[in-house]
Amino acid sequence: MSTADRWRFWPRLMLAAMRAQLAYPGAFSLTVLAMVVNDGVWLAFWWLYFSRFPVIHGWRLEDVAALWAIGATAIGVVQGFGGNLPRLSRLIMQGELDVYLSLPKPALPHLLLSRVNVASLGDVVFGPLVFVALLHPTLPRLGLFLLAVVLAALIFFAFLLLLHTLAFFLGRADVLADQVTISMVTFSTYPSPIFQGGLRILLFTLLPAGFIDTMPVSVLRSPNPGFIAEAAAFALLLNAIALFVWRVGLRRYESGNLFQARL
Amino acid sequence: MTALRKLWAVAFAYARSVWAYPGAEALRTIFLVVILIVFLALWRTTYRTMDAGSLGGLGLPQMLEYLAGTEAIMLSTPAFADRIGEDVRTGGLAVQLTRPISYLAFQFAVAAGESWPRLLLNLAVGSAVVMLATGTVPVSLAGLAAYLIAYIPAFLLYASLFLTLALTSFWLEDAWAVSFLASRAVMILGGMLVPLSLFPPVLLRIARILPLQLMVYGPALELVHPFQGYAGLLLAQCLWLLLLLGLLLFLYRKGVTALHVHGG
Repeated sequence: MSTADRWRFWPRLMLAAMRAQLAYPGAFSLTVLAMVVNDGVWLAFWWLYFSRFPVIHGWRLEDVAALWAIGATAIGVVQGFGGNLPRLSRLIMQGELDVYLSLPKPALPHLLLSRVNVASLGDVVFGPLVFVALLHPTLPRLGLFLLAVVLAALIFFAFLLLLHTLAFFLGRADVLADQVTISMVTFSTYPSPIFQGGLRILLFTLLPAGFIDTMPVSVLRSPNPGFIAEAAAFALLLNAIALFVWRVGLRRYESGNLFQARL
Repeated sequence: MTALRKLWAVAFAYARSVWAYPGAEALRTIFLVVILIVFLALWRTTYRTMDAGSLGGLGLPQMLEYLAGTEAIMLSTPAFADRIGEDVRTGGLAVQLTRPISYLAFQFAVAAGESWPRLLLNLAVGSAVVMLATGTVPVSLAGLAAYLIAYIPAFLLYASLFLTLALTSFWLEDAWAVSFLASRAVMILGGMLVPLSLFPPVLLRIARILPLQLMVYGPALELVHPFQGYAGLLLAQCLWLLLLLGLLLFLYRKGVTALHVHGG
């Protein structure tokens, strides 16, 4: 399969996965709506908080709204369109990669794009909605918003991939991966200045939520080229490490001899 | 008396099934620890920025213990909508209805059996985090007693409300969305994330009218301010409980007669 063929194949695969979910339009819309409401409740919490304490370490309600717009879009895109990523450790553990490994296409994008996670699409709807409704969208700000989303998505994707590939080495890593993912998401949705000391170091290294929750201020409000370069370098490095570990892990993969049909 | 013994046996069996996997239960508390660390960072910054010893009548250790109390309640509650929806969709309800025990009472017993061990574990872990973080013991024995006693009607209220919503499965086949929206309402208006004493006046009036705060805010506040306005809390809980139980029974009778079992 040539490179050009592959690039034609991936969007089609994604569309097919999306169409499979749209077969139940009622359930699809309800799930997306429920996630939008869920995110809205968190924004309501912050509205409640800032109605009482208007500024915390220079952060205002608008900055937290930006954090949710960037974070929800990035996390939603990664988990929504790479719907198998949150299940990757289970697929590895149960030996369910065979179907992807036996085809003449790169296994990782193939398995990630084969499934759409509908709930996460609610995040993809919510983020841009908040940007348009609350964050004074202009063309330059849209560019900065998209830059922040891409950087956050790259970091989140690499972190999740690294986490789930632990299953190649640990065997049962699914519960750990779920708990660390939810911790990453939680830390990514609170203003960065509240985390100090050792926790702050942790959030810029092992659990890199710190890069994501700094973006509203250092990318969108007052763009800081130094921070943007650091975040980009970190995102690229983390992706390189994650892809390397994936390749190494794949050599240790053992089939589950599971017969599967892809319909 | 026999019925009570049966319900106790069901609750006990489900409580034992929770304790049967201590490792899995311990892993479930990781999220609680994470969220409390985040709340600690947020509220510590808030108290410092406002230069306040007390906010909404709570000092920092009390605020964190209050939040440990609300999270313990919310993380202990079972997903009624999923369970009843599954029974309705799969036709498993047909089997459940033939058992020599009331279907609703069985659901209450299962929920109680699953909730209590998780509540105690979550509260212990949450309080340990608060103690380690603040270096104080913000909860007294009186507070613990007041919290646990108030949790009984709070649990029954929560179970009645969410069972009522779950029963809409009889007509909708899936009550997930309705229950999900209600649980999000509990998060805000029940005072899970912010105590009611910090609400803006208009929202406070709305929250006071609704029973949601009696399920979470009321018991959790008792943890740090034990036996203050206690009789009022218990009375309000019991009155709402009567109302919701009545509604639950009414919907259940309507639902069972409208039910068409497709198989199972």
